[in-house]
Amino acid sequence: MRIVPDADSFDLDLLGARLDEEDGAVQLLARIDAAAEAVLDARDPDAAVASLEYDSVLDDDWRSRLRSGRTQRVLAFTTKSCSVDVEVEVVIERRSMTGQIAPPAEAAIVISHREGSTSSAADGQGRFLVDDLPAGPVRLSIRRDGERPVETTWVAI
Amino acid sequence: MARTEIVGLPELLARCAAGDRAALTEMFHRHRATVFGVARVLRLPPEDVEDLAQTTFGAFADYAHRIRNADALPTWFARTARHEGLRILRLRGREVLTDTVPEGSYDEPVDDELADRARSLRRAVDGLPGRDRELVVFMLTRPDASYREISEAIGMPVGSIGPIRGRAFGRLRELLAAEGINGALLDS
Repeated sequence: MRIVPDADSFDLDLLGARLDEEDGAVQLLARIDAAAEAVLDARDPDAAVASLEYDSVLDDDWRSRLRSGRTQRVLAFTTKSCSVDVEVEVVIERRSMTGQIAPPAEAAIVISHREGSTSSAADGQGRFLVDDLPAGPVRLSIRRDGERPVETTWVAI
Repeated sequence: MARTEIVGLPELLARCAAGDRAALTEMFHRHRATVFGVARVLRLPPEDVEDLAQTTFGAFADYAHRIRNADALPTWFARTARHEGLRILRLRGREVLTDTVPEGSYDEPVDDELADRARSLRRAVDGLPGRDRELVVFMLTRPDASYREISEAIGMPVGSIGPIRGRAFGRLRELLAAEGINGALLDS
């Protein structure tokens, strides 16, 4: 009978440690820790969370309709009190964002990102525009008069 | 990083749901190897590893209050990290995985005998066919992972893991032998 070698015949911890050396695991885990800190630093415990309900990147129908060379991405966030639709455009290494808050209202907008944050404002129709954002994870914070603040979940753009 | 005293997952989850910063830090620390394992499986470059960690941990911070069962946390992190990792791959237009490793993605270790053996291991692991490689890479990163965690992290049915595991490590042994490595790899 042939004995099939199995994971049990390897020392996974030692093999894993060797792979870590090759992969620069220490540096990568440090990056993961830095990302964890960034999540904690940008939180507003009083805000309502707007979930990412739609992402065109995960929508094969939408992707197949896109003509080649077009780079727009559509994101839709919702929470009880409002929804936020965002279109993201790639401008070389940077990103620009046009957004629409519904129901329409003036709002102060702050976008947290890898380089810090960028402020903007939505007009009376709930529209806003933000240029020159870095690629990477972003979160939108939306403050309207007399309403609970809203924060979207993090999403990489 | 500030660490909280050792507590069980149910208490840690309750503290996270209440927005306790030290508890969130501890929770992220306990699950960072899962995020790293998923990043390795998907071959994310270093800057995307950071994005993966931030979106995965961010989702936890946002939704911790909705998670009822602390026993499900390890699989929750595995599933969320994979979902976010696949989103990042699509965003970068790299969802078609190839069996070639991007050159210089990771920092090179110092050049000594140990590093040579580590590189040989890397070549052997990367020489495995797709699903075998994904399983081996995740198991080497998270040797203590349950089958359910592995299933969520690499998108493989629980029932397939046992048979593929036997085959994959058998192939790894052959590839290591071809690199001139047997038990010696395990000596430091």
